Amino acid sequence: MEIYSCERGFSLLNPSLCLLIVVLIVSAVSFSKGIAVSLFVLFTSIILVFLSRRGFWLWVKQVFYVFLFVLFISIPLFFIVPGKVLYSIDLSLVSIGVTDYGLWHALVLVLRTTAASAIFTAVLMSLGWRGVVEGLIGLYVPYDLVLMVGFFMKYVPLFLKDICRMLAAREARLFSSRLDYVSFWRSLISIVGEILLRSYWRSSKLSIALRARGFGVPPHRRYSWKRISFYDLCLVFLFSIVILLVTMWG
Amino acid sequence: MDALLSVRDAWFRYPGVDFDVIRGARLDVDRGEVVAIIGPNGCGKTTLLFLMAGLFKPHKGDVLLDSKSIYDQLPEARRRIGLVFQDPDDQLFNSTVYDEIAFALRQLSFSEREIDARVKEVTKLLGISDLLDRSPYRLSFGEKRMVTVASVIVYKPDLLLLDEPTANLSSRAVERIERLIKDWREKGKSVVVTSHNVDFIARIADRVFVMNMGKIIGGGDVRAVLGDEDLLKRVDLRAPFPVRVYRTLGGSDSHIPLTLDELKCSLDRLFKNTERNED
Repeated sequence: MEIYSCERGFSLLNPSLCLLIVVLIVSAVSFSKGIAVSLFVLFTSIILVFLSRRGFWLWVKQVFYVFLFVLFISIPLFFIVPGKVLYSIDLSLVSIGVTDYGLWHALVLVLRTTAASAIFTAVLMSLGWRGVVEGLIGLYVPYDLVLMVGFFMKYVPLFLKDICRMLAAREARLFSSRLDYVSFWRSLISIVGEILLRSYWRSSKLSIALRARGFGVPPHRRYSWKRISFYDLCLVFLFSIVILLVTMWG
Repeated sequence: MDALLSVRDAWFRYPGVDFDVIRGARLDVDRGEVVAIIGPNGCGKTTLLFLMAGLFKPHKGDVLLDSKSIYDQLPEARRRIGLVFQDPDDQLFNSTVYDEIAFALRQLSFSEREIDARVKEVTKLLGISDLLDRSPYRLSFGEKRMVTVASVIVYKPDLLLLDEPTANLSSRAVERIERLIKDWREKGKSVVVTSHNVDFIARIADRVFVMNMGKIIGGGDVRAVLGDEDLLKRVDLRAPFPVRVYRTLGGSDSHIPLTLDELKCSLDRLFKNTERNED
């Protein structure tokens, strides 16, 4: 999350339009039935990451983790969806079979989840958190929600730094010659309570800071609409193709 | 002339705590003066600043702004008071440095043109013009500190409250803060500073108050307070470097130097007296 919260986004994109289109694309991919849409979106995500010139391998790593995770949770689908049994596994008491429809369903699930995650991450990397916040303002999302996203952007790196410091402080005082998992987990668990307390402390300070400079007025919403660029039109075109594919192949 | 801000026998305790963090604090801040509050960690300096900003309300006593209770003047009174937090991470919450500095002005419904002019003016003053498009969370501590100061002085409050402004700063950054405080005083505005850095306090303050365990145990003219080593010892502080050098060399209490320039003059005088006595 910290890596994706880049300072300057891909300035050629209009954040509001980009955000709106990506939400629509993610929805379309998530509810698609075939693999054509997912494959198309996956391919487009790769192009977008290349265009935004951000860490391509970081993006690949993140998408690969999602792929592995979904693959793992889709395993039951191999067996529970009725269809022609391709391979049978004998478990002494019961025999289970991998069906063709099961494999197809698992493939569709894995592909559409991976594609949805890939395009969202690609856009997030292109826009940066700041772009996301600007996009939300432009879309007239309730401002309290926008502020919360802004705070999220602030506190994720801050708490990550806090956790790293706390871990380092604990590890510095772990004197055993071999660092085993039990002692590591013990030190990790002890951080949880402290992080909760710190988050309470920080939120109370934030509330004071807002009151000190808020002057009793709700936070001012400001947004200057960015011009639609060629890249935005490309995104609109991409969205049209996705919709066309969904209409044609489901 | 009435004081700009007065704390009148204020007592404060945090909810759920069975002891008072501030115990009968009493101090005045006049127009155009720099007041310093010194004391050990946890003695209540920050809480006292929050009381002075009208952010906390004492359960006994009052805080007066222009002789009227600050709590009857809220939230308008906050436009006249600027508070800079000790930890910049507690104060910054906007996505760019520009938005952070412009936040208060937008709350006060300034035009975007005026906001732009003011933001550029303060960032130039503090030497952070190149940071405007950056995210405040990715700056160094010193840069963050400058942004917090800029975000407050941009709306030109009458009273500036600075909580440990020199903590973790390089000597160059401390000099910049020092210059800013002096400029603020020259404009007839007031500043309240909390700090452990007695040498810094010696250079900028007109009056000093010493706090310990929620109480103000001493206060007055900067020379009298920072020259009182017994009082400073009670709060675990040492006298400023020029005072210690001067005392070690046997200087009298009538010309206590607080800055290096003053120390030079005092030593010249001291050595001349010694030579005259020897002759």
